[in-house]
Amino acid sequence: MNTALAVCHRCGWAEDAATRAWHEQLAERLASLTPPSRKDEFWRYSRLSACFAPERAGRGLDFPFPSPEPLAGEWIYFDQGRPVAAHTRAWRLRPWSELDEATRARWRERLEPGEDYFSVRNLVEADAVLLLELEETADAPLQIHYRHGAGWVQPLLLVEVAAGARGAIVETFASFGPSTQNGAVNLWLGEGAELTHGVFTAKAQEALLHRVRARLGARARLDVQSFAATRGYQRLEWDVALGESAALRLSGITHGEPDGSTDVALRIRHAAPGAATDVRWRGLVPAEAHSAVIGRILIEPAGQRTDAAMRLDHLLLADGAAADVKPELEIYADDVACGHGATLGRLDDEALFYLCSRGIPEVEARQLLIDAFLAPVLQRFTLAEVLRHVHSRLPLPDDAAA
Amino acid sequence: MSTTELDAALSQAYEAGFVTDIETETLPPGLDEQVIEYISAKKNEPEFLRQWRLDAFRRWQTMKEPHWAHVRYEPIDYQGLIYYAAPKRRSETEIDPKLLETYEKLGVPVHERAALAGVAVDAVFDSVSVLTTFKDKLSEAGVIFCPISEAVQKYPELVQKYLGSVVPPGDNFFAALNSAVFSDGSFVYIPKGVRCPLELSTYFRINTARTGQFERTLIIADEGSYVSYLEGCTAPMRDEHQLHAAVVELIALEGAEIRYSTVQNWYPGDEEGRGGVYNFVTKRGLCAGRGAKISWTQVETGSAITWKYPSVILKGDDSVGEFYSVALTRGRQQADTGTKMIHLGRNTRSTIVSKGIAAGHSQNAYRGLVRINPGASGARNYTQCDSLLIGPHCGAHTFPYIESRNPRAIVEHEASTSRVSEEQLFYCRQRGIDPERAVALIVGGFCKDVFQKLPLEFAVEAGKLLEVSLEGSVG
Repeated sequence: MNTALAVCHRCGWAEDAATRAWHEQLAERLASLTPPSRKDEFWRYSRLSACFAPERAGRGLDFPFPSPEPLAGEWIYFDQGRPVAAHTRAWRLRPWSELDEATRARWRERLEPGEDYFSVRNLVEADAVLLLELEETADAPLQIHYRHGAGWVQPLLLVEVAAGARGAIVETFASFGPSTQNGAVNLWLGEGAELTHGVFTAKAQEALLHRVRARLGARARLDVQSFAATRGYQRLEWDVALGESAALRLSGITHGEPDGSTDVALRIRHAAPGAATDVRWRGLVPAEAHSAVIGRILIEPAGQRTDAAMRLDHLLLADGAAADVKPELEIYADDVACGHGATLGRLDDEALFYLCSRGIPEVEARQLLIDAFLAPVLQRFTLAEVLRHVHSRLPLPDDAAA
Repeated sequence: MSTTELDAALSQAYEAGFVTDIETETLPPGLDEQVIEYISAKKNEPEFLRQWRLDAFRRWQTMKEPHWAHVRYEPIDYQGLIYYAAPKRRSETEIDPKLLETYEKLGVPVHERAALAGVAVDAVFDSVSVLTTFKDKLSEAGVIFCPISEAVQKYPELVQKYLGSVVPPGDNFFAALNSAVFSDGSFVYIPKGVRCPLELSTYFRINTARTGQFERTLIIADEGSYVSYLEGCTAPMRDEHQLHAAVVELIALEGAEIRYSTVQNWYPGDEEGRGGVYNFVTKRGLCAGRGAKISWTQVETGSAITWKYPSVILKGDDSVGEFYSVALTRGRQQADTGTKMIHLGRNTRSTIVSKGIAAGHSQNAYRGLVRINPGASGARNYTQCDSLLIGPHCGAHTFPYIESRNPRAIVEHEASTSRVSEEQLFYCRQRGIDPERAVALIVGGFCKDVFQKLPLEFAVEAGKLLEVSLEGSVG
């Protein structure tokens, strides 16, 4: 068991000279940036004001979180952005302070955030920087449980899966008070590595911004399984670059809740030949809920023999529901087969009538149709830990199904 | 097929690239309020229009040129452009034979006896309309078809009522510029219940160097009427870029139908991207009444840069919007084109079929918006946008925006991108069809859905245009 994190006093960036200089540059860059607005294409459907609500600014936690419940298998707890307890055999966990200079230099280069306000802010203000390394195949997924309750909370995870290794991580989020979690996970998959990544956000009812940046080496595979629900605001981002013959399968469900807004942004880049992407995202939007998905698949000139598909579907369940989708293809190579599809609609009246006419009560009939709508994505959820959470949220609450 | 063979095959001559040597009255380059006053005075416009232009100009001065489109170009020197150029007339009635020759050379039926006599033509040369055919026959049916400068004189109430009602002067940077300096264009009014007896057509020609063309087209289809309108355009080959910033406004009242077809063949520039027309156009239709229908069909093969989104605002209940487009880019051409369908009324329907073909070093983007507003119960949209890539150096992109605020609406969108399939080519060649013909056949099949929507004469022309553009694309 790795107990290095049972008490973690020194998180965030260790102040070696090179890191300090880099950090200062980032702080300067942050000072020159402003939060994105709807004029920015990747933020045009975002309801960001929730993140900057005054009650979130500079407030400290004035109540204790419940004691971490020991989970089955392997796990880490993050409270207010800092790891507070962990249990794992397969993964090696190291805070930034314990990394050698070569590893730090490598990651500083990998973490270049560009001009993205939230990425830069996360790097500048990170509560904790933790490197997770997997050298071999891990049978049980590593469960990462985040709890936030006050102010701005900004964990930063670095994940390295060695060539040929296989593993899974499942991130879950829970909020306990007015707060904005601006977290980031950087996944680095070596040649032939495989990672299944679950992201479950249904208990994060405050503002949540979560960015996943993944770099897939040759023949690496990343399988994302995400279930997003909130009564607050959440933004989930995936920025994935695929190496030669790498594969991305990204499956997600937005399970809207009244007054909640979920905003998903996908940037997928094929920079080498033979890579494959398969995205399928489905959203259920009840009254007064909002769901947006912006997805861009970019095929660079070197990305020949690409196979890429993106399917984004939404069901609007009641008046006051709103959905926006923007599935983009940007293609600079000719030997490709790329496609995308999107639908926005309602439950099929005829199907509903068919079921009701066979004696199935309307509420049940609606639920059956909703289950059928979600089934193609749910079938791709293989992680028991994700499915357990998903089934705890389904069927829909009555107000959403009505 | 090798890249070299492909590039060579795609550098076909631009047949409409000649210059007409004609005496022209031009303003010196530059734009200020005096230029606008001059244009307005030249056309003897009423005070409301003069003021409208000046307001638009003042608005334009406060606006910034947008750069969000997926196109790259050198900054435009707006003070280096000529805003008014018109061929000198010998008399009020006589038209310079060189002008007629020009249009005949371009295959435009400017003589009423011509083979394509089923089409009435308004010919716009640089900044002015030089002739309009079949006016008498049309007026018998009560149809008004004339240059907009003439409509301002004869039907000022109609112009004042509808001008800027769909594309307001401050709508966007280029619409504001057009509103300030537009010099001519077509005006069409179809009275209640009238089915226009002829296809109407406007042919736009830029001739004078350093000239921008800013025409304005306004079509009003009154209740229960029908009109089919065709538009064509060409320009000479020059090393400089020329700006074409037009505005087209369509208004379809209750039960009326407007079909608007464009075959755009502006000079696309040479293989290195020198010269060519910047085609920055605002086209928008309003289905104002119940059951109105507006259908845009476009075949875009020309222009160095095409940046336009013919749109429909579906305000009337049960109204219908359609957009069928083929956009072919080759050489260094760039296109960012598509449509917007704004559903406001109940049971409104829209269909979008877009085919993009990219060859050479060109960039071809579809950008479209489908918006369902809260009141648009029962609305339906179907969108299909497909891209075909020919050669390894081009790009094909799709940027659809889909927004719904009504749970009783259905929106479906699908898109695909691929290259001309080896299997299809093999199939054709196996049956003795030479490779060049096979590509033409495959591309023709790819575009068939759109060509079927064009009026017959245009469908033939569009098909030929595409064949010429792609001739020899397989070695």
